[in-house]
Amino acid sequence: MTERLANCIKGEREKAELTQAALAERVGVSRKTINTVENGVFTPSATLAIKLARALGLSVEQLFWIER
Amino acid sequence: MTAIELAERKSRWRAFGLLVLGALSVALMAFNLGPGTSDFTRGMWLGALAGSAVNLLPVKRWLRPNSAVAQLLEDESVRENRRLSCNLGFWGSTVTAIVIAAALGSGVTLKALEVAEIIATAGIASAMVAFALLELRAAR
Repeated sequence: MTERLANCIKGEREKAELTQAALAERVGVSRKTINTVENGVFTPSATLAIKLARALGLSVEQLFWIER
Repeated sequence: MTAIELAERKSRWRAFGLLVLGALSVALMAFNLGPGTSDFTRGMWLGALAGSAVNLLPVKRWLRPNSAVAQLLEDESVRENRRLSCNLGFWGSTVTAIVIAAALGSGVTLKALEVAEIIATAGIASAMVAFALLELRAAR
């Protein structure tokens, strides 16, 4: 059985009226990184997951979950 | 222009540059296998390959560790793309070496220098093209 890390970054980012570039600036990464994490292409490290959750005012568990 | 925008622009140019260098390395290697080869074309091939290899390393971050743009050009997803493409480069050169060994066993003749050129080009060019394509896909 395969597992993947799903997320709701796009929805939460749009709710906060942030562009990918604006969120990238808040977190301190490139826009590409935000784009690939949002699309599930790249699985972020724990450090980046925490930074993303903080930037969007959520907990890591609210932003990321494991999908089977 | 913000650091994010500048990093994005530089990253796109880097990807296109890698594609061009990859194509140039393969073209020069192919030319060197033919009768028109010379020390000059071999030197050009070596230069293109060295330039390519340097682009596969995080040189900018080593040279300017405190630069915001250099850090953005070498963030988590870039490091992952670099790792994946270097893995692919390893397999590219390994498979090429196996194919050459099989070809040499069936009567094909190649000089040691030509074999080295083909294997090195296959490894570096496949890694570069993979890195460039991964970066361009991420930037979409």
